[in-house]
This record gives sequence, structure tokens and C-alpha cells, in this order.
Amino acid sequence: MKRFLILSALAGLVLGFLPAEVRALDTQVHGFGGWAYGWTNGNKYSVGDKHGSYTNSYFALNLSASPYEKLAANVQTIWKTSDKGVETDLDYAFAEWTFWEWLKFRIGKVKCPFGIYSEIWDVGTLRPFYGLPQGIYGTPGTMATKAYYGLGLTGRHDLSSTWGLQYDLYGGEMDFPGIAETDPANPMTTRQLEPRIKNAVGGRIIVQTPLDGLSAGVSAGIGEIKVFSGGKEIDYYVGDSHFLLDGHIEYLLDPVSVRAEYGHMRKLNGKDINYNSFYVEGAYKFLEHIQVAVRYDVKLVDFNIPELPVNVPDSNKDLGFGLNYWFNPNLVIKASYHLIKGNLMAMPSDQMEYITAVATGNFEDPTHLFVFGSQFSF
Amino acid sequence: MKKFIIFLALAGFILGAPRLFAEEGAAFKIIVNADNSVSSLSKDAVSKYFLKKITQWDGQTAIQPVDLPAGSSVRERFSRVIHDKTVSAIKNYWQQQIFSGRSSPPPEKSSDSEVIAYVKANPGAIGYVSGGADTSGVKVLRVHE
Repeated sequence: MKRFLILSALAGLVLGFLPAEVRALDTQVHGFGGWAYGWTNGNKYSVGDKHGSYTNSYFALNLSASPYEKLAANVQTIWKTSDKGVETDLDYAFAEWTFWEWLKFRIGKVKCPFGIYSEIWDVGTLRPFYGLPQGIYGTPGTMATKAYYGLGLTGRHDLSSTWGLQYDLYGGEMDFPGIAETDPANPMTTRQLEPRIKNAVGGRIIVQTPLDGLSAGVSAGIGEIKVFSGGKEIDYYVGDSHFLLDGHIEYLLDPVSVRAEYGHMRKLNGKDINYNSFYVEGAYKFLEHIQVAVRYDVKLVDFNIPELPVNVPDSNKDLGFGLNYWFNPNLVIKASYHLIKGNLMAMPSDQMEYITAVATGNFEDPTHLFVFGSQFSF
Repeated sequence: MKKFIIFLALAGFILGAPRLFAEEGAAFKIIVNADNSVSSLSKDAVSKYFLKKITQWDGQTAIQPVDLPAGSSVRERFSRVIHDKTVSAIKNYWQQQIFSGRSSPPPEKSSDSEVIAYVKANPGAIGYVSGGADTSGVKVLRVHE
């Protein structure tokens, strides 16, 4: 929170002290948000729980300015409510200097160019389901993050009139979404873990093909993983080397959208944990406003940790069907049903119930999730 | 009589069809600042200028595209003819660009006269207006495939 306030104040100062004629030059304000009700038959999963959760809402404000032709500043802040209360965060705040269209320099807290959805994580009007595919973008075992702290290069280049390349290279540090875990010192309680990837280096290449709307890309990243709890670094079994690999393909041409993405995450330190995830997502819009969608999303984990209890869940399979009504590209109402097998991500919300389920192997499976909500952008 | 009707129908189609296409092409005019040395552009180039995939005229002057509002019928025709996409699809493209922090859409002006005023005032500007708009003071570009 303190870091958020300091960065917000700095961004405000930079923009506020610019001369009026400079501020008037290409300053844009955008935003997006959403709300959802989520219900499951027992486990907590995505935005749903067994009591029916109404408190999933969020709003993000996006500000960009080009005070000079080659300089752009971008800031995005987000407010989220959940059953834990209100959270605020600085999604990104970075400056970009354009040398040429094929080479731009970025510095600050920068949107992380990884896979399909990292850069547009919470923008619900750019996807067919309310929530992101959980295998790659959900917790635990998130393979992607919204932003990196550091510096990077980005650009685009037309190889011909029909082929194009977009590329990114970056280095710095990345925060990953925090997760709650049983506290080894007191197994009846949980502790909040905050994974960070230090000294990270990564990149992404996306190829635009001659077939209008079709693109494919590869992302990769590597770094040292450190886990913090209560602000202190802790010894943790995930090891100290972190490797991410992602391949994706997208076909986006109204009224059809098809996306497929594979993610691999490996954590090494004598112990070798492998995460593999794949999803395919398709949607079709008809009668101008109505969209049907389907997604199959799989995540498998190979822990290779002998001391872990044998019943610790290691898979998540989510088959989702969606029906949406688009008022226009900036406002949509979404309803979806998901059948989830496996308890890697669908688990009891109560810690004691989880510990009992791990001890006995008696998880509630399958999980049924129903989501109804709305998302908007401007 | 039957042959005469068929002949009339064929004649009507042959004479009418080019006019229909011409009307589609004449529904809007692409305009640039009067000092701009460019006099014609390919459809593909115009599309890339408006999507900010090409950002400079000659390595010196920034291209400054300007749009009409999303509800404008002229913009709908421009979008279908130049981008080969609906205005909704173009708005989705801009959402992707905005929220990934990569680019921002052209400013929107509410009328032909405001677009013309913007193009007159900015040496790098490019815009489009309805076919019947008075374009004195700006240059109308020829657009080819």
C-alpha cells in the first residue's frame, strides 16, 4: 500500500507539473471494471464459493500521456473487492521512449509481455469468459504475472506487406500473485506467501501471419525465485531457479475468436517441480449481440517432493460453457457454467477442511461453478 | 417481350453495378494537410496509418490520424472499405492496444468540419470526411488497391 501511494504521488507530480500546453498533447483516460456472482457446490474456485459470492468487483483507471513526440507515460491503478476486503494495486507505471517503431525503450513497472493475457489481465471486454484460464493465470502455481519492475525493449517490424513481428525483451524483478499456505510452524493456521522472481530475464515474439486475424507467439523467462512471508524471505521448497515457457496461437476475426495456449513452469533446486498447462478457448458471436463460448483448460503438476503428503492434489481440469450478451464492444453481460475435476485449484475454503481432505484423500470432486457478471471498459 | 425484359434487366445490371461501387467509393474522402506532398496512397497504407502501424510520413513528420465518432455512418463505411472490418472490431483492436500500454486510438472529432479544421491545423494529419463535404483548404488523396 505504501509503495502504491508513493508511486501514485510520483505519477501525479510528473503529470501535474507539466506545462499546460504539454499536458494538452495527447493525454488519454481509459478504464475498465466488472462484477460477478460466483457459486459452487462446495469448493472455492475462481470467483465462486459454496455460499454464493457477490463481492467480486474491480475497477481500473488507465492514464496515458505523450508530452513529447517520442515519449509516452502509462499508468494503471486497480481497486478490487473480494471476501478479503478491498485491495488496491499499481498495475503498471512506466515511461516509453520511441527510437523507431521497431525499437522502443521502457522503464518502470512495465506490463509483462507473456502469453496471450498477461498484458490485458483484468480487461473483461477482451475475452469471452469472466475469468481467465485458471491453469496458466490462476493460483496456486500461477505461470504469468501482470508486470515486471525493470527495463525492457519492445518493437514491431513488418517483414512484408502481410507478415509482421512484434517482440519484447526485458530484465528485472517480478511479483507473482500471493497464495495462502498451511503454516508449518502451526498447521492449524495459514501464512500468506509472496513469491518474487529476482534477476529475471525474459522475452516474447509474436508473428502476425498473412491470414487476417491469425497470430502465434512464444514467450520465455528465467530468474531466481525468492518467497517472502510477512515481509521476510523464507526458506521454501520451490527452489531457487524459475523457468517459464509459453506458446500460443490466436485467431481473432469477428465474429469468431479462437485461442490456444500452452504454459510450462519449472522450479529447480535439487527438487524439481514441473507445471504444465494447456487450454483451448473458442467463441462465436451471432445476431450482433449474442456470443457463445467454450473452453477446456488443463493443469498438471509433478511435484517430485517425497515429503509432501500423498493426497496433495496435482491436477485441475476445467470445462466451461459461456453465453454472453454484448451491448456494444465496451459492455457485456456474461454467464458461464464450469465443470471442474481435480482439486489442485478447486479446494475447500476452510483451512481445517483442506487439511482433513489432504490427510484422508476425501476431496469434493467434481466441482460445479456457475458465474454471472458484467464487464465494461471505456 | 420476355427477351426484352431480360435485355433490360441485363442492361440495368451492367450500367448500374459500376455506379453502385462508385457510390461506395465516393461515400467518403481521405484528406491530408494542404502542405503534404503525398497525393495518393494504397488502401493498405491508409489502414496502417489509422491503426498507427506506420507512424511517420517520411521519417520526419508524425502521422496524426483523426476519426469520426463510432456511431457515424461515414466511419462505418470507412472501416469496412479501408480496414475490411467493422467499427466494433477496430474498437477491440484499440482496447487491446490501450490496455497493454502499446498505443492509443486517434482522437475523434464530432463532424466533418471539425475533422477538416484538425487536418488544416496539423501538418501530419490525415482524416476522412463524407463524400459531399467541402474540402477546400485541405488535400483530397486518391486511394488505390
